Amino acid sequence: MGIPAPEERLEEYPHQFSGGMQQRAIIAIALSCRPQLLLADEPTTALDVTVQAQILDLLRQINQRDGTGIILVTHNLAVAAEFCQRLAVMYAGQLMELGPAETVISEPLHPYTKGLLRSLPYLVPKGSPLTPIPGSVPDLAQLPSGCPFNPRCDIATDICREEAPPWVKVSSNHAACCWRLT
Amino acid sequence: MTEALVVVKDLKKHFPVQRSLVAKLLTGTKDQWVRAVDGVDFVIHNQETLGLVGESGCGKTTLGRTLVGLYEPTAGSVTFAGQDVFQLKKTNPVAFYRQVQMVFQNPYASLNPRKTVREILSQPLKVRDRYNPKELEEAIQRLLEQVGLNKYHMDRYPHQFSGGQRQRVSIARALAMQPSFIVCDEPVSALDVSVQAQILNLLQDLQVRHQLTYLFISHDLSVVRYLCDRVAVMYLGKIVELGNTEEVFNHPVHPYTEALLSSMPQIKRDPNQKKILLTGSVPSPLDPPPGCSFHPRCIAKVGKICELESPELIACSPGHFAACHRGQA
Repeated sequence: MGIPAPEERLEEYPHQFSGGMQQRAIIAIALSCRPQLLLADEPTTALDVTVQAQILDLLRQINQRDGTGIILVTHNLAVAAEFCQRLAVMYAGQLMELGPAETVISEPLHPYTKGLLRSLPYLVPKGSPLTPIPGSVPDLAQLPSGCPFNPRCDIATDICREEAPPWVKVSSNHAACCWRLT
Repeated sequence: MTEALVVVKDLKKHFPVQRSLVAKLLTGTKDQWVRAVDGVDFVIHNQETLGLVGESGCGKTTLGRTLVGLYEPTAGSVTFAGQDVFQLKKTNPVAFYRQVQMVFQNPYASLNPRKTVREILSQPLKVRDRYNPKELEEAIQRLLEQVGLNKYHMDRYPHQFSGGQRQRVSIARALAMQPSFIVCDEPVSALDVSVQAQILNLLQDLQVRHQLTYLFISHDLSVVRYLCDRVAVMYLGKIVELGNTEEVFNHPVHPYTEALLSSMPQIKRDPNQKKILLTGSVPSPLDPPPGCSFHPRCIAKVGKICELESPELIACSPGHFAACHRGQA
């Protein structure tokens, strides 16, 4: 796991570990039974970028060396783009888009994915405003009818407000849930 | 732009680590000091945004809080428009807080849950000026409109707002005093990307409209690159690099800045760019390593000097400063 002096640190309590070391210990617990699939829920959100890079490097090694499949749950698009082979985008409890990470980032299909990418301060010239998605996430107990994203979508039509959108495959491995792709 | 608004000179803030008398007698240890900020010099120019980046525990927040007078410095001085911050704060706190305000990191903890937005905003307004009830109502409404809220939000409590809206209320509260300098301590770290974009737009708008100067504290390098004119990189209580944002991002001089930039995840990575993985984590500020405090993790040490002498922050090109023996040897 990359914990230095493991014999000595075995007897220590969690509070004696740094954040990155604690996360390594958690990964060690998760891997102790040699699982085929590891679900990593925001494993680096609480960590600094330099430590985040170390933890992602460790997870990548586990993936390549032992063949453990990893589901990485994150809100950080850059981490997802760098670390993952495939990317699934969720909104209000539903899968909105699924495809190879590179394609989803470079040619997003769903307006929500496009909106997320546009709101990143990445490559936006200084001084020009960012384009956030208008509005906020709906109350999950009172989802709008039709597509859950329709109130915030800039290309929504009548059918989007009435019926749930179909899952549309645009290529063998890239699909999204949107009426505008039909 | 070149006029200096805030001047920080050799600022130090050390916190004592309290130990009980018994522990001291039994173990023979003395009081220890956390050197949160350990000798920092810089200026913030009028109407600029200075970014302050670094890992957690490097002293960013302590530095920000010392600038707004929440902590008294252990040594050194902070002057604001030519006046010493701590003298001014003691003799005339209202005048001081008319000039200097802060937006805190956590919008869930920095608003009093038992007060409505009206109460939260009327307090600073009442301190600043005398209002009759009608004027006060109008002033609160104007503040809310400036931050993209409206009068219907006035009688709500903080828990009735989303994270982004709460941060808007915090910003309105800071604006109530009509300050010229605002310290923003990680104002967007707790928010989702889309809401983060809204708040960043708002901060830029307000800066133009009210000629504000910001110290923007963040660990998110992409946000800093987008928003800030200049950036200061902090490591273990010291500034290790300072310069124009693009200059620092494109041509980092300090090995720590290089490592920090290369570990920043990117949507589209340049395949030629090599990732520098730092080993270990930030040492304890209780007992910083001798010499350059970065030397135990540094991959570009030039020799013994790194372990013995602490490098000075000196100019490596006009307006670009770094504290590293590599460039100075």
